[in-house]
Amino acid sequence: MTISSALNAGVAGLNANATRLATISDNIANSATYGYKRASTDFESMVITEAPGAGSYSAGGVRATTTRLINERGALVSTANALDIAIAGRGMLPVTQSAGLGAAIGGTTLMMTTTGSFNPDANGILKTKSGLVLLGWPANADGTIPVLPRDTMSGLVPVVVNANQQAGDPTTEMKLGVNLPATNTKAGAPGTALPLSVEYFGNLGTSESIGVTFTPTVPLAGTSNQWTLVLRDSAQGNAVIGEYTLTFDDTRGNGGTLASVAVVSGGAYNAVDGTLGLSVAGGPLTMKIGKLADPNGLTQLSDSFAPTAITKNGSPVGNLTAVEIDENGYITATYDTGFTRRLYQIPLVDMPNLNGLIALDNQTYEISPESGSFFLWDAGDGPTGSVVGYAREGSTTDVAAELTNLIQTQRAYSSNAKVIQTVDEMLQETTNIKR
Amino acid sequence: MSISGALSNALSGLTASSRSAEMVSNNIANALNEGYARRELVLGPRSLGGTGQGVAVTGISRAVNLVLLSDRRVAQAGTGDRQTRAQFFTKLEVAIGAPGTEGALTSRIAALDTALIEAASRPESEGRLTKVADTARALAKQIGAAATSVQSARADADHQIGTDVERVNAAMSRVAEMNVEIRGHLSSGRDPSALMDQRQQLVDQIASVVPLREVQRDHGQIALFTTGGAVLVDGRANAFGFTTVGVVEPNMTVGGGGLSGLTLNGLPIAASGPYSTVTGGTLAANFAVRDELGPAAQSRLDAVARDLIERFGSLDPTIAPGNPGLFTDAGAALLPANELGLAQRLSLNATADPAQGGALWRLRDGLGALTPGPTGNSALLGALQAALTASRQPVSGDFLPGLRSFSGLGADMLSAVSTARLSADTEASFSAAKSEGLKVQELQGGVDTDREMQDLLQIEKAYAANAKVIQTVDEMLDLLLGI
Repeated sequence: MTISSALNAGVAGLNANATRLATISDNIANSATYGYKRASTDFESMVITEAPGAGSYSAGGVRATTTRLINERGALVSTANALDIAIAGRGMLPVTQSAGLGAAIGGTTLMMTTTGSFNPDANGILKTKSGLVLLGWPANADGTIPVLPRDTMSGLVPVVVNANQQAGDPTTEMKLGVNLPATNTKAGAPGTALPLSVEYFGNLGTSESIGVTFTPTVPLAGTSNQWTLVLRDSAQGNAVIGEYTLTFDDTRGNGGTLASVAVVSGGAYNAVDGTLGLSVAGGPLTMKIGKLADPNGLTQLSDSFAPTAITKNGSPVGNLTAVEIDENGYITATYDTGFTRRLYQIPLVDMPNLNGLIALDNQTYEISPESGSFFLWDAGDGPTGSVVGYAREGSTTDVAAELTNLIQTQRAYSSNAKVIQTVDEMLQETTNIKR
Repeated sequence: MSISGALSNALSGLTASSRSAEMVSNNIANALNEGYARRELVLGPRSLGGTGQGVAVTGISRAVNLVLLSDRRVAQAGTGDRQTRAQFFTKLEVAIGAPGTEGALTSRIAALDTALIEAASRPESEGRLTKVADTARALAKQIGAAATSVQSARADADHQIGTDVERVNAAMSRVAEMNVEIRGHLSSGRDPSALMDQRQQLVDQIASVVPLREVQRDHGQIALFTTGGAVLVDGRANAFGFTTVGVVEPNMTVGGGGLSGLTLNGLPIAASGPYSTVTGGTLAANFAVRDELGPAAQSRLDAVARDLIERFGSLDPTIAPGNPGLFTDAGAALLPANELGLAQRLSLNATADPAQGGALWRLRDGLGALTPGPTGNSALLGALQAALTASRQPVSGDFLPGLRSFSGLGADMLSAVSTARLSADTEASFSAAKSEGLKVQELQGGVDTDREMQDLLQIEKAYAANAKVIQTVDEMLDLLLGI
């Protein structure tokens, strides 16, 4: 019957608009929630009979369906915590509930979120205030990330940062950029050795030194341009680890550069890259003294002894001062000696249909049959965006748009109510025909 | 939502402006602090995921002109070196005495000469003989006092080296510690500028003792080398070694034992001279005073004392062979091998000195005479006077060849010292002017309060503009809610 279908359609309209009102109120309530994805309501019309040319029409009414628009991205908002992580682009962070941590890792469920403010707890586990634990792939001691399966979460472990962690970094390379005084190899010079001590760091982070002495060869007449270089290692009780005879050029083109290096004892001189292969207590150490005729290593010019260009790698043992995440998702620890070490890689989770994910509390999502299976990407690779530290993703709610929708919904609601009131009045008229 | 983006941009602007104001206030507060380097906030656009998100403080720059700083430090060390040398010569010149002044060496020689002439004219007068004895004793004392002051200058230099070494060692180890602190500050993202100021002041302390070069290393650290190439701080701090002695005697030298040389990390290094790696500051200058200038002045004074003894040595026929003449080496005859330190031991022969129990008449009658002779005999007094003024070549002390009277020799020695003093003074004042000039240039690069005030005005305007943006956004939201 046409008139009762109109009443039903009016009631369906009220229900549909109430649903829309609920999504609007949820959106506005979460307009300041980091990582919140806006929910939207779609209306679909329902048709009961549609006989062409029929004299009557039955209103089918409307049905509301809600979807969460997970693929929409909010603006990034900067913060002051290094481990406030957001993603500039597609992809999600792998997390899990801290409640499930005790179980075997296969038993914990993979959840995803687009942003989180992580802080270490009493055990050093990085988690949010809402109890989400960040998952990542641990790095090897040398900072490389092992090859792990990317379509299961079997390689992922909770990220643990120990604040009292210490790390050392042994010295393996050293460059000796020293100018020797040419006048010291002249006849009549006293021939005293020029001492120098260069610090290096052993495998256990201890500070050791290589004692370097340059002894000029003083001829009876003229200038010899020859020096004896002796290297001693303090970690081996100052034992001589190398002795070399250096002769410098005095021709016009190459004046002051190395002309020849003769090995008396110790590791060989590599003329191709200008290095001495030394063995200190902890293992091999490459000391660069410069190629022959190279003005960029040992030189012998004028009358000044200038040991100012000595460089080396390695650093002493340091305490952890900061943990940061870079755009590739690597969690890097910085130590107070200025040395950095990679601890974890946070992969980004991506799946074919983002909007098919099941939304859970705390702006997290879970894989569903509709979303498709996930894949763990290196941040920035494939479809994924880069990881941004010191940032959160803002809510995707636009308050102005929601307020506009609110006005529309209110109008639509009152119009539907008016339809119901009119149908009621019309039925009243029908009832009043019989006295 | 772009309105909330506008709000956060304006907030970042407010933060940056207030940090800038903090920097300016710090600069102004330290305007009179010499070791303070002006700081400036470095601002950069903040971008998150490729979109602009306001402004970010990317760092704090500390304005230091390293070239000027290094030049000033070397000049400062040079000034210390020249002044130390000039002070030594001034002290020596005062001890010998300028000609014409009371108590000067040349006046003492002239007084002895006069006294001898007067005594020769009336050899029987006790007063005149007394005057000869007094002036001769005063001359001997004067030479001794000059030599003592040379040794005390050496002792002062030795003491000063000890103080310098201690101070430099302490400053070097502190620089190494501050290097570690600065590295820690930088790697944890804190501002190390205040530590860098402190470290610069420490380096300045070292720079007045040894001239140095500062080399920048990784993570805000510095390495220090002397301009001669000795490593002071590179990673770890090295240490100088030196032992002071209480008293310095003429026979004490580094080579001969008694005085300490300089070591760096236990290895002996040359402290002065052309092959020294620490030359050019007060440390090397004090070593030069102790080991070169002092001994040279002592040997000059010894030569003068020897000349004086030798002039009067063989005049008197009454002296038995092997006995001393009018002047003695502490009462004994001169032994050329014992010349070192002679100036201090120079004394009037006790037999003719009433103060030491001798008799005045021996001046007239011969130092070896047993009884007084005729009172009118002036032959010996005349010979003594002639010997004082006779021209002879001094046998030691590296004087230029040439014949000189004793007063001529005294004047020669004094003029050599005065010339050295004058040229050291000239060099010191030149060096001081140079380091002062460099210092003025350095201070010109420091805090300029006018400029800071101008910056402050701009910061105030920027702050107000950002606040205005916030106010406008607020009004926009009000409009929206008013629909």
